[in-house]
Amino acid sequence: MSSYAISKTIAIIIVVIVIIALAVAAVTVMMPPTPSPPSPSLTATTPTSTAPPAPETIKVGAVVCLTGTNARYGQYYATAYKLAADEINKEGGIYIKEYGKKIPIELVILDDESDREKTVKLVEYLCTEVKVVALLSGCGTPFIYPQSSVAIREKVPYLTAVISTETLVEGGKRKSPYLFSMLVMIDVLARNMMDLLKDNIDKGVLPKPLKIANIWENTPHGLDWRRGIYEKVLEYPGYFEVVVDEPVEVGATEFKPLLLKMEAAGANALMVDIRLTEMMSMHRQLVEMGIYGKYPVITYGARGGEKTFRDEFKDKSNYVIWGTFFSDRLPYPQIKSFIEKWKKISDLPVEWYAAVGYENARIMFKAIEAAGSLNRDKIRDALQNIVVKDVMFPGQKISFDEFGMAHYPYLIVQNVPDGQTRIIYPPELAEASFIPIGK
Amino acid sequence: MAYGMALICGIMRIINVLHAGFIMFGGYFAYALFIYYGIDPLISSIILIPVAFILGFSIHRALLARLAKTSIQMTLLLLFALWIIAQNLSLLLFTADPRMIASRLPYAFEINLGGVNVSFQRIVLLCAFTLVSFLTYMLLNRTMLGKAIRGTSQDEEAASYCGVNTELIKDVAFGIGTVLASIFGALATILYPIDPFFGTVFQFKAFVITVLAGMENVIGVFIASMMISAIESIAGFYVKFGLLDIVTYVVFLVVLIIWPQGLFRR
Amino acid sequence: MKINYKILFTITLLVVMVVIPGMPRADVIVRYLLWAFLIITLSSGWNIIGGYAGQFSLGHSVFYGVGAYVFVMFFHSFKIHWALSILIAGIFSTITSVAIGIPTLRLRGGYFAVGTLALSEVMRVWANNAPEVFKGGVTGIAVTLPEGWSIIHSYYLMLNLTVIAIATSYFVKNSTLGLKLRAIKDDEDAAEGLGVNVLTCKIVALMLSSLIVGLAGATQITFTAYVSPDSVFGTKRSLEMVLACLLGGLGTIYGPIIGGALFELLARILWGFPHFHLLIYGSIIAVLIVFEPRGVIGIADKLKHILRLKQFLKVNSIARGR
Repeated sequence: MSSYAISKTIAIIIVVIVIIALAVAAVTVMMPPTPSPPSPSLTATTPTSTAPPAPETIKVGAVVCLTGTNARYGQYYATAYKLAADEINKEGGIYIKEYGKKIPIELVILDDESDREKTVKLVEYLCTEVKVVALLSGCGTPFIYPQSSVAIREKVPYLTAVISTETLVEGGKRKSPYLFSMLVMIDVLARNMMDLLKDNIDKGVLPKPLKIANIWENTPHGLDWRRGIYEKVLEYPGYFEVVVDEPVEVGATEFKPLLLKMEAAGANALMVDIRLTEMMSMHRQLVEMGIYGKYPVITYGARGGEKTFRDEFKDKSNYVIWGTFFSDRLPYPQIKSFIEKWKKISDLPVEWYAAVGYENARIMFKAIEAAGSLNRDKIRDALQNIVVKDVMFPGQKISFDEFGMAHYPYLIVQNVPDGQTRIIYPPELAEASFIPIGK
Repeated sequence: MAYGMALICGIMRIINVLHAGFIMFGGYFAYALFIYYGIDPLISSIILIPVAFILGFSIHRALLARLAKTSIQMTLLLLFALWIIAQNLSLLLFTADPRMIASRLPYAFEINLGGVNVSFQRIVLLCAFTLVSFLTYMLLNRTMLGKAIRGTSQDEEAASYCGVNTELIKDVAFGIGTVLASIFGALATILYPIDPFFGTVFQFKAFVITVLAGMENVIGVFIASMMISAIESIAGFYVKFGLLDIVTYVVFLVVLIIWPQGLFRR
Repeated sequence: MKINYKILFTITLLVVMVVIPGMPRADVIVRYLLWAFLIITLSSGWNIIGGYAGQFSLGHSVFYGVGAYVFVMFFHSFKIHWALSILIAGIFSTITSVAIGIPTLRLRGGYFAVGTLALSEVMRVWANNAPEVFKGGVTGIAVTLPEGWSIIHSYYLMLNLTVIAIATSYFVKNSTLGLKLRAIKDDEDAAEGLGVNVLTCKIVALMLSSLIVGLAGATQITFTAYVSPDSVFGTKRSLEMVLACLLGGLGTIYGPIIGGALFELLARILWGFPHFHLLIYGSIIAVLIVFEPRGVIGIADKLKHILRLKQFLKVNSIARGR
């Protein structure tokens, strides 16, 4: 048989197979949905009947960015989660009522390499193959958002650390009873800041109208920030004027054009929502252009207190205001002990992500305990109803509302000389009042 | 002020492109990334010269020389692999925290030039870059080594007939390229915070400049870098800020398609 | 005789793939296969232009992303049936490839590579900044799957696509087009001299390649249910396709299959080393490129030759009356 004829035969056979495959696929698709095989094998057994043997560990998962562009945050979260888990495991684990004993936590932390497709893949893996009972937060909204779809689909309780509403709410309704966020939304911060500024305008400390240059990260985070600002602009007519309103790409390095625009527009307040590396570049260029010192108000949203920032700019970082949930100036004993614990296990400076990571894990573990079971739905319910006291955030307690969101005040702090920061908002926790830059 | 930066990017490229048309990618940012010096970067750059040279030379000898026979694309991929390795090594060693030493340097202040505040650092940087470019130009055009390098890039076979040890020359050229890239990295700390993901944008700009200028043409590179920075600054005003990055890419593509030989081909 | 074994093997493999989801305890394997199919399809598609024609496109994620976004647009926004949406996505991809191909395929080797790389980054930044065109903008958008859709459905869909991709790869290789492409790969000018219309051939190859990649981009949404510029465009996705192909063997039919399967396996193994995995990954690639650019197939070939040589030597020594 000539080789031509042979290849022709092969060709026909392949076509036939393709058709069969297509037919099978079509049939499967037409069929009523096949129930996915109930998770058969587990490395550690999970109870499937009424009088079960207790599983060896409680699997809790998290997919964070340990490498890649977002690695900075991932490292913090991973370390914080481990700290929280180790603490409990030292005592033997979480007490689960259903089995009447303490079971140790097994943290499964995976690296998504700051890759959004991979993060989806890994979370799915955690939910379906590793069969975690709950998920801890990923790092940052761009990753949490895709992860949350998987959590919703797989019905796994997921306690996120997002500050933009998009992840939890869609069309005014809560997306899923399985999603929670332990952080207050950033639009609240924007609003709080505007309130603070308004007070100062009333007091005559700041000019009226305050000309705001609003720069925001091109992410839902940034959009929420922007929304908060605009809401207050509308609420207080005559107080504020937004003269520049520009988005910025994550990873941008040159801000000169933007700064020039600001100057050209006659801005005198800079309100930025941006990440650390970009903030550093922006501030540097701002200082070079002499803008630092000209504007009475400079804020980088939730950033501004990082050690790197302070060390780098020294007195040129003074009087910058920023929002946070965590300040070592709050007189809470749990903060002090946390800082001590952290210093023992990590060289990284204590930033708020460390605290957030730690509490994220701790709250979840408490919810598991409150649920008294390793059933995902029970844990979800427990999380919904839980009230955790002595958290490190202002107000010292946290619980979740009908949207899965937490409520406690944002702290607005201001950098002052000699490296300190002072709390200037909310009034009940404030140590001092706002000082405009340049005075 | 972006001129200086563009300039050095272009210079970085040129040597590399001189090895018989190799197109190298990641290798450069690998080196630009390894910079975290407690000592003044200007001095560090001088120390870097021998260190980077040896590093580059060895890598070429050991790994890249083998690929000379296969396609350019393979080299590209290899360099990507090396880049991934380098990036993660630095991640492990230095963590992902951006480190900035810029403001702590003794010359971190502004001076007023005709009503515009200019940071002294940028001036220092500009001088440094110009010096480096000048030296490179001298090296390439006035020395025997330079001639050998250029000859190898133009026609390897012919060069070997003239008695040039092409293998060695290629290793050397790569070494020099590495030196330039590392110096760029070191000097960049004067201005920017460094983290393991630093070099990406610059590497691309460098490539754009080289293509614009046509290979092996130092003056062309100089002019091309000016052009690129000018375009970027102007574009910054009209284009939505987020899209600024792709201005460079788009210019690149346009040039690539319309003038593949570059604008200043000798 | 050899050919018959190949057919038998292929048929058995296919049957196994079709039947697997029905088996108990198949969950893990199904998931692995699903992702393996994806990368296999992608690298097979890329192989057509990269391996056969020798045009290393480092920006194939453009087609992948276009496929994904068009699918989302039609399925999610216009509420068009998923099957139709996938097909439309494929068509859009192909159109895009023609638009891209005509200017860029004139460029030689390295330049084409870099040019496509630039293009993929342009797409990514553009998508990040143009939510009117690319739904969801930077955040991306989560897609609601049709009622009752399970991963099994995606599995069969993907299996289908993989078979189609490999079949296409096979047909191209053994056709006149394949011959012309090989000629182009070896020496473009010579091919031109022999009367091959280089540009047309390249474009056709790119069209086929982008069709497959685009269809894959659309199909994967059915199991990831999410699209964002960073997850579908950009250099990373492009590189994955290329590397998987490289791993298995450039320019062969089975190369992408083996490469894809191995790639996915490797990824899974490396999940266990969160801090080192990229290091290991990069090192493997580097070693591979330096020592055996023809991937696993290349290694297999070498072994075959070594064995034949040994046999030859043995026969030879017998013949000499040892």
